[in-house]
Amino acid sequence: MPSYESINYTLRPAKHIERKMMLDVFRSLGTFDSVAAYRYIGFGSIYFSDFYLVHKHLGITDMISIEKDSNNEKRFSFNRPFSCISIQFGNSVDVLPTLAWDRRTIIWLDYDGTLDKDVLADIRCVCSNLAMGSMLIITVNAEPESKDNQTRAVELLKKRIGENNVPSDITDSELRKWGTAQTYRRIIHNQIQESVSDRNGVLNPGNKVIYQQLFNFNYADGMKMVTVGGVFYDEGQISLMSVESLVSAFPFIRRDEFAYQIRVPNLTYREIRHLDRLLPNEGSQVEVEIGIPEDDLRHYSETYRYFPNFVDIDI
Amino acid sequence: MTNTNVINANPTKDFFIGMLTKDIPLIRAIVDLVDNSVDGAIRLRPDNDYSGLHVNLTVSETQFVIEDNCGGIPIIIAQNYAFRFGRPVEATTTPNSVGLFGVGMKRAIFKMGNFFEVESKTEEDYFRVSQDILDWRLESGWEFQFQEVQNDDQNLHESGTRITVLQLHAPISEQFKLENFRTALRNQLEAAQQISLERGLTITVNDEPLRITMLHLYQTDKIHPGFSHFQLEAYPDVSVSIYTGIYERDLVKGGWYLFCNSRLVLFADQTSDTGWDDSAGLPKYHPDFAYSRGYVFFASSDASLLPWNTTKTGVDTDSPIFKAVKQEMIELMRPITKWLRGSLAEEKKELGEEGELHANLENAPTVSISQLKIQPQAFSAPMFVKSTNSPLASIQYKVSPERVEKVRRKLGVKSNSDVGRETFDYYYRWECEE
Repeated sequence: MPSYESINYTLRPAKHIERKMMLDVFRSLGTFDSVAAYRYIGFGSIYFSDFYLVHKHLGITDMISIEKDSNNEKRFSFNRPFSCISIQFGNSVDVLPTLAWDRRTIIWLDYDGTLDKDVLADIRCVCSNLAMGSMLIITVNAEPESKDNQTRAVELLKKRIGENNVPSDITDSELRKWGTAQTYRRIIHNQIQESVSDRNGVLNPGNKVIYQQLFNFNYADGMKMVTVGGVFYDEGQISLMSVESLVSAFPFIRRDEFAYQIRVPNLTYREIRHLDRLLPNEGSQVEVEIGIPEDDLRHYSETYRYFPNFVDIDI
Repeated sequence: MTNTNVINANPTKDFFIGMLTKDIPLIRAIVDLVDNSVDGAIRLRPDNDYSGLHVNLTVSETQFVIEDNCGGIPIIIAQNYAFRFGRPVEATTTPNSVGLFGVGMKRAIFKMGNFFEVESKTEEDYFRVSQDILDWRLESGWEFQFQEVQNDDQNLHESGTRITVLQLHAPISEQFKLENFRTALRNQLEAAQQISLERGLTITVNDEPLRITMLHLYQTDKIHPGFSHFQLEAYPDVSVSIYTGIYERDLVKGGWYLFCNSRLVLFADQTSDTGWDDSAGLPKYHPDFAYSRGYVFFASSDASLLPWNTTKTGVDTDSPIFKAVKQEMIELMRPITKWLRGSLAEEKKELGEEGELHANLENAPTVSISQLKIQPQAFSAPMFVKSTNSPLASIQYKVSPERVEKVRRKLGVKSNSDVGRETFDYYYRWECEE
């Protein structure tokens, strides 16, 4: 069953927060070019949630949604929210190589499945073509193997993505809980590094490609997910890319293997309104005497700007 | 006065360096260096127990280091042979060696960088040679200078050799940075040196030891691996052992594995080189054969007789020894292809799903080649017997996947064929049974 039939994408709070956080960073790409001039490529499904945000907030009009379910063309086309979105039917591994790559692009490969050979092939394809100043983000399902298969998790992973892509120190026990997400991040990162290195082999000094990881999210709206991504620029553009200022502006930026965990505290609407009036609160903990657990308070103050408002309304 | 009748056929250094290094992939060049250490181990421990011996590799953006405690290179060997290009005829060779052509060390060094240092210590002596290769290219002679020939002031505590390569070529340093490269290096070393590892040699890459990967086959009271061991009349010094059988279904790992003096030369070969070629006796390799495994071991005290190519990345198909052995390999593999295509595939076709033979394979006990004690024999396994008295009929129809999914859940079964069978049985039970 395609995931869009079982999950209402718009109702996944952690994912919602992730999208909005990334949107904030996309805005910073304006140092390379007007963000509105970028192209956006994603997997819109029938909800097009990312497309809404990117079009409405960034003004991007060149948009491509890759849709693997070519049996339901009508339904996808009906749900296309803006005329500027072109839907390309087919698997990403078939569609990506057919696209032109001469313009700056924000591409979010938001898979609902797990990490497999096709994902790595997509990363290779994108990394070897992406225009400088572009961003690539990859999301995969990082649920650990079921109990029955826990003792052969490494073996199964090797079968799925090829032996040479699985770091040699990974053991079955490292693939438990969030370990799978950490390992997937490492494998994806290695693939990006390798592809960038291959690309750099024939480039002159000064034009060599730099990949800077900015995103490393872990979250679970049910399934454990990992998101990895960052920006590509060349050695000549180093002055345009101030990673330090991004880091200080956005506490969720992660340049290393330690993921930012998106946690969604359960708060009532009344509590949210109350906390919002106290935020932002530079550096110090928000103090409230209404019995909200401390962890929830901390998580809320980190994410409040991106926090979803789900309301039941009749339209 | 120059002699105009003389034509200069001296090789140029650039030609040598260029040709040598282009013929071999980086990882194989490194595996070659480890072979030299293994040869040290063979000399030191003729009984094949390498425990306590180690080879440590360090691979980084700025340098490559390989260091072993496998005995070291005597000065006399270093002076006359080790740095020569190609092995002189009069050189004494290590019996059963894996280093052979006298190019491995130089080739690997030239491949990687512009500066090297080789240090070696034996029971008797110690030397150090270091050289800037760019400088050396400009010199007319082919000699390297010993920097130091003395017994103190050394980095090596035990008898052994340490090779350091610095000023790495940019593409090499670029590769050494990548974790994916280091993983591939480890995997190839584990495969190529698996027998040395089994014999107790410790090999580490950046402090992390390689793992022993055993060669396995299924062996039960009904599934018997094939085995043959023989010598060749004209080459009494060469002995050959062949094992064939079945093991885990894996498209990439099926096929032939060929070892020369315990060094893996061919990995899961599925080409006509090993007979997978309709005309040569075996069918073309096919997913049906993903269960097949064949292991061939060539051994000889004279390594030059063995059918490997100079990069040890493949077999010398023109070698008369290999041609003779290939026929034997095909004959030992044929019963396996026949069984996989015949019984195993037949069973699935007949039952519409994997049956008892498959199930036996899933649970089959495995045995590692080194533990396998068998007499020469052909592979055998239970045949699939078609039931002749009541042939089964098959039913096929197409239904929308959503509906199948609903029924599948309701029934709590896994496969669509189970859905078909259960729903048929259900109908039969309520409507047809008396």
